[in-house]
Amino acid sequence: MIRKHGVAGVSSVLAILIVFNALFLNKLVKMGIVAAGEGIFKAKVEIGKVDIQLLKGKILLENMAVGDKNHEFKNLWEAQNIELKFMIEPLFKRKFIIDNISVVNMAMGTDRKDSGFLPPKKIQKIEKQQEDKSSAVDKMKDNVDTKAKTDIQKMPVSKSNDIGDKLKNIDYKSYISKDNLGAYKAIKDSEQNIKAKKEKTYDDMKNINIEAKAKTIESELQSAKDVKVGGIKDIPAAQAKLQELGKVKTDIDSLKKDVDTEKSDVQDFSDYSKSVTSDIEKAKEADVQGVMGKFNINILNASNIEKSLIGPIWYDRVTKILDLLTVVNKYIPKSQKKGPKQKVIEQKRMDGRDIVFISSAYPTFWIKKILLTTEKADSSQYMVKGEIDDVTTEQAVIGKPLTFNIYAEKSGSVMSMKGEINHIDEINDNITMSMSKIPASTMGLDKIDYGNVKMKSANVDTTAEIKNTEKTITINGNIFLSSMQFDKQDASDIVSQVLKGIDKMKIGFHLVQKDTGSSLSFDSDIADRIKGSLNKIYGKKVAEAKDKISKEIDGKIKDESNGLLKQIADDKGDLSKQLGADNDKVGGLQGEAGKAEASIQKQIAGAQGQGAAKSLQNIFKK
Amino acid sequence: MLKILSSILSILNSNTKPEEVCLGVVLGIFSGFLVIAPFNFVFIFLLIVLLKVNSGMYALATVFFKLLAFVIDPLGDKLGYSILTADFLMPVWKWLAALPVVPFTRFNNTVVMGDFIIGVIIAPFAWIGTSHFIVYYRKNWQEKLQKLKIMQILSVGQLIEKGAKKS
Repeated sequence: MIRKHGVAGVSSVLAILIVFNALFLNKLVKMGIVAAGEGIFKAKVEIGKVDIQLLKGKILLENMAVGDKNHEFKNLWEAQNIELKFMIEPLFKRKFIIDNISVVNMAMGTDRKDSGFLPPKKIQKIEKQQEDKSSAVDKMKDNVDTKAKTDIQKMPVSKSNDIGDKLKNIDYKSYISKDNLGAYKAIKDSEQNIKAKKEKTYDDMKNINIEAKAKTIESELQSAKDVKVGGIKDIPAAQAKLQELGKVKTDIDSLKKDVDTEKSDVQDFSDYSKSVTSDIEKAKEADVQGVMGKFNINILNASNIEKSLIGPIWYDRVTKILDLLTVVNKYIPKSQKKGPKQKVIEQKRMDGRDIVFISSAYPTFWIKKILLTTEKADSSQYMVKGEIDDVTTEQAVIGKPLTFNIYAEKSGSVMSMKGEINHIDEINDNITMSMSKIPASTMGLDKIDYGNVKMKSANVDTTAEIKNTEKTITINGNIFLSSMQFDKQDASDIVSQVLKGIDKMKIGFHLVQKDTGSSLSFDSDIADRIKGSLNKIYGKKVAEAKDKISKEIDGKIKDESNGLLKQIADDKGDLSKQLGADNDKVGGLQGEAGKAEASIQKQIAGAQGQGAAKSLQNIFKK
Repeated sequence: MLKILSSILSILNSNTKPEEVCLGVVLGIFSGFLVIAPFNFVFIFLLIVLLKVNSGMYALATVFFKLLAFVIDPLGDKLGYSILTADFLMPVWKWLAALPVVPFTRFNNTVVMGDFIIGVIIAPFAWIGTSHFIVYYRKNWQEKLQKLKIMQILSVGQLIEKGAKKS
């Protein structure tokens, strides 16, 4: 059964394989790293040079760049030099154990000349391998995507000119019918009410009967006027008259009080007539609002603008966090109990699953330490520093969680991320992310397609706390945007006008995914400000329209309104005339009473004077 | 299709020993089923170089069983998973995993293990069946079939093809 030259053939084949590997090992490893990287990052991975020194257990990578799957012409990161020191012996057991990786001059968010996106077919192939979407992260992703689809829409387009033109071209007359106007009904009702009120006031005035009372007083005054004091003997009668006059004056004061009551009644009427006109104005305002409601004007909703504005910003943050959790869950599966004492780790592959048996041996892949350092001071790039420990696909084998503390800075702008990925027995991840003073362009916010408007610049501060367990994920965070500026596209665009007045905002996101369901909430502090701006913008245009409608209504109810006003004026005139006459009458009586009193007192004094002179003369005669 | 039929007839009609054809079929089974692990493919290829195997039948069997693998992979996945996670077999797998070279076979992959088991089950039947068929064919059908016009056409076609290749 054995070929004569079989051994030679096998030897030849093996020799060819060894030579092939020796010649092309660098290229093969490069292809392997690129393929693995593209699977993880879902974007182009490029490596300038790979140098494998097998016997020294060293791999050198130069100029490695990983594209950003969300931003076509940005790199997620790039590194100048990467040195891997690996153990040789485990290689024979298909295990790749790296003692340490030294990454020098790693920069984040650098620009790319060409696209960093993978071809769609390649993306589909990668995603096909990750088809299982049953984890809490996947459920949250689905919920976030659903929420984003409803919340994130392009900014509504509504131009203030358009509204002005629309309002200008509306045929207001066709919307206004006299019989349906509340103001018309109010006038008709008021006519009746005014009439009744006037009659009642007039009757009350008549009932006081000032005329008759005045006549009695006048006759009493006349008798007082007729008093003649010829001498001392007439003084007692005159004094008695004065006393009577005092009583008449009291009657006049009483009459004066009656006139004051009339005054008050007339004032009531006047106030009522004023309230009637006010009620008619209110009815007219309601008519104007009613007519405005019949126009189909695209009045923008503050809540929609808020959602459209903050949506892409929180979506960007949240999806990046969820992408990180997806990678973590995919590549670091937790162990599973098989049998009473046995535990294994399952790793999904394109064909089936790899079962990793937990023993004291090494895991399939383990990077013990990654050290990130910078050797050049470059203020134009986010240079990354920090440490990542125990990166392995099988944490249960090494019994240690992955820990990391990474920090990137560029002229005052800082990004940091630290945390622990613990999938040893149960999933228990805690991650804290923060960024401060990051330009909007770095986060790609300037590329957000808001439709008619575009964010020109802003400074972003953001924090996020992530807790991931197998069944529950909690993500809480804030995004502060300051010094916001939007591109001036069209000055008449209402959204542009609204955003002009907003230079900062705070967005909060709170996401919880549990077995029992999810809770996603996003809020901001700009809703009231948008509402205020909209009111301000619409106020002018709407006021113009309201004025036109008001004038149209005025025209419709002009006759009735004038009639009512005339009625009110006439009634007021009548009542005032009556009040004036009564007031004059009482005033006249008061004057007459004063004069009569003065006349009697003068005569008494005169008589008393004459009487005294005569007494003195008699004394001197004696 | 005619070409494949012609190749099979050519193998059957040749003086190749039945065992060589049977070994080709068996190795084709494993090659088709285990090709997802490159190491296995290299190993089987070395066997072909080392052993007297009808390479034509090996190639045909590899293609056939690779196509069959698409259908039986889900079954292989389940079977492999049961075997690899069986509590009583765990020490064996741990021991194998700790050995050098063996992990390159990807025996710990559910599809590789499942398809391998299916291959092991199929292989004896394939060997015996192929062997019996060749003997029976050569004894009862070979002469009759060669007299058929279609067989003559196929033979002429083969000769023309060979001639064309030589020229």
